[in-house]
Amino acid sequence: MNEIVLDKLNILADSAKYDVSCASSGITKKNNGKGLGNTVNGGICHSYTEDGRCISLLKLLMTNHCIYDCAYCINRKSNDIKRTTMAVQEVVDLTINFYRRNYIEGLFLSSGVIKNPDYTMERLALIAKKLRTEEKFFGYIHLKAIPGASESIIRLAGLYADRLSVNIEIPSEQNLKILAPDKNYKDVYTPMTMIRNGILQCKEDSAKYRKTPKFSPAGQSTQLIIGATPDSDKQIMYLASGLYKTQNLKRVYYSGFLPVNQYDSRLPVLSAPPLKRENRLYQTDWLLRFYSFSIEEILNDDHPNLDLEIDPKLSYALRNPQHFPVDINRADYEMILRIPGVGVKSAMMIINARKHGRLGMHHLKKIGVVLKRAKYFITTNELGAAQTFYPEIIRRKILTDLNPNRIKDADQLKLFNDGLPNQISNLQSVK
Amino acid sequence: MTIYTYDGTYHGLLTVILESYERKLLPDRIEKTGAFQGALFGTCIHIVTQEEKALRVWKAIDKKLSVNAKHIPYRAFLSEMEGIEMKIFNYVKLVIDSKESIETDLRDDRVIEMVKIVQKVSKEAMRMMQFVRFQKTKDNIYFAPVEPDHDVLELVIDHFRDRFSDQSWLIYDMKRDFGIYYDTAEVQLVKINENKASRKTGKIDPDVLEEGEEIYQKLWKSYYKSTTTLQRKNLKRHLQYLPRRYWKYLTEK
Ligand code: SF4
Repeated sequence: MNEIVLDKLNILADSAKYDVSCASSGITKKNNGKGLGNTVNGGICHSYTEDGRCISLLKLLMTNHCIYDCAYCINRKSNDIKRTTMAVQEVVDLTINFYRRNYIEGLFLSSGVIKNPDYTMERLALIAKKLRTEEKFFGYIHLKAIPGASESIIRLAGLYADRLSVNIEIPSEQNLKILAPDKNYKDVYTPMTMIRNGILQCKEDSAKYRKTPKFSPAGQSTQLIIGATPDSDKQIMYLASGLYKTQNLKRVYYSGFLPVNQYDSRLPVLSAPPLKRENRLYQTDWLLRFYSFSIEEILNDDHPNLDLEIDPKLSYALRNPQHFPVDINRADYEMILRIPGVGVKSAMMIINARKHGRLGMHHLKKIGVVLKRAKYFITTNELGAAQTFYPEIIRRKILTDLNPNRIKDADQLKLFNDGLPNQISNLQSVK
Repeated sequence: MTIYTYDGTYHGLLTVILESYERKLLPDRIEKTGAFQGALFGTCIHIVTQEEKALRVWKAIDKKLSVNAKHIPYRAFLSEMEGIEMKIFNYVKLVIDSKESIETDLRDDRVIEMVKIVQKVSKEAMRMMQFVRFQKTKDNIYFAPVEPDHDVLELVIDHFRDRFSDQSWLIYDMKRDFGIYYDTAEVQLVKINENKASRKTGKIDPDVLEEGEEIYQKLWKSYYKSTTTLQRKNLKRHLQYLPRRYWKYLTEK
């Protein structure tokens, strides 16, 4: 290791950072006692960037050379940037030595496309293979499947990686074609389907035979870029929810568009990445995966975009007053989960505690329920009849609780917007 | 007022619990011998730790609580919080005196309070798994200084032993002055005579560092820098996840 590698690392980590699909979760894998490392189901964040994101894996591009020219990508061939490539052994050494110092959970490796997709994919697979066989590495490995690579090579990669993934990036095909002329949905879905089938096949086999080689055991994931195209939240989330169902994806990541290239008429001008919207999409995703909401309940033709001011669970509750207030001592777990201000942990605690006797408001507070928010949506039958439910009033009250200066901010916002062309980006800055 | 004093060990505390039952004299306060300032009023009883008595209390807890809750009294003890002894006493008494397990009865203050304390302790243990940073020394030991808020090192032994089973490591609690040391065969609690790590920065003396250690630290630091997206800076979130008190031993900070 030396200064040259330092240089390469800077360039290749910098170009990789826009891919956010890099959690180290989904699998528990023990060390066999002779090797290095393991993986734990939830993954571990070893540090946090200054934008508050988890650093769990060494996230790198093998190379930032690329034969393609996608409009939203910093590595596209028409960009005049410093290019470099890491040698296979350099990536291996970095991973092992970072891992041994407890800096990381493992490696997240992607790459620009060099020569052709197969050649690129083969090298990624080779790095994973070396880590597993030569270094006896049991930590986490996430590889990107390069669109267009052939099945046999993706199969090979899946034998060594914990997770394989392909990024869809642009939430609709017609927009993808405009922004990435060399790509189409088929190229993306083909490897995704291959991986899905590989995983299913492996599950079937391991039920039949004792020694089945594992294939991408932590599943697959993808990333969607938000705000680069006019796609609505509904379009985005229906796509995501479809992916969870039909492609068995473990995670879909949403990445607020960040202009990295010079002005391009195909892309919007944003003064800041749409972080608030990104956050709301993640919250929606969360509701689908852990709170047994269906996507139609959150987004539909009457409500095609998420409310930026309030979170989707609160927004759902306000649009569906007929389900509230919820009786904390009687309602089933699913309904308790739907109360704004109650998380998975407190819902479990409520279910457990009420077996011992009635729960009152003061109990809920101790358990960790955010009463400021939840109080409008629950009843403990302490106060006799429940209050009448006026969504608009509740909304206003909660918003004032969240941010007492809100009214002032809103005025300023109006003033500002008159003079500026891009409203979206200004809305983002309202907390 | 009845005050019991004990030697500050967990087994000592369990002995106090048993003795107070046997004497039919429940404590109003329980204090560590060293920290005890004396009291103007009341009876003061010093209890000598007896393994056999401690074990009896442990067995009673073990019988009543589920696998998930059994560790609650001990983990709460590791919090080292002031007055934790009486909280544990009250909890254990409740456990032993109740016919059914009370572990999920969060309506009871004695229960919810312990649950919250244990959550804190477990979180601190998690933070050790996250934030330990090893530096490799000339004698091939990976060394990491830490200063956890609670006495959590022994809670992370299994994690580090499984993960780093082929390398020798030492995680050292700089505040409590002891560490857990793994020699690729087993883990021991150790105390080092001449600590070569700075309590200010956690950095080890350069002359005991392995060659190449520095370049990896440099690589990690620069990786850390280049992985941040400046347009997305959010310091509030950053500090919430990575509180300042952990920074001094983090290589990248
Ligand atoms: S193929 Fe990938 S690396 Fe190449 S320009 Fe497109 S997005 Fe960027």
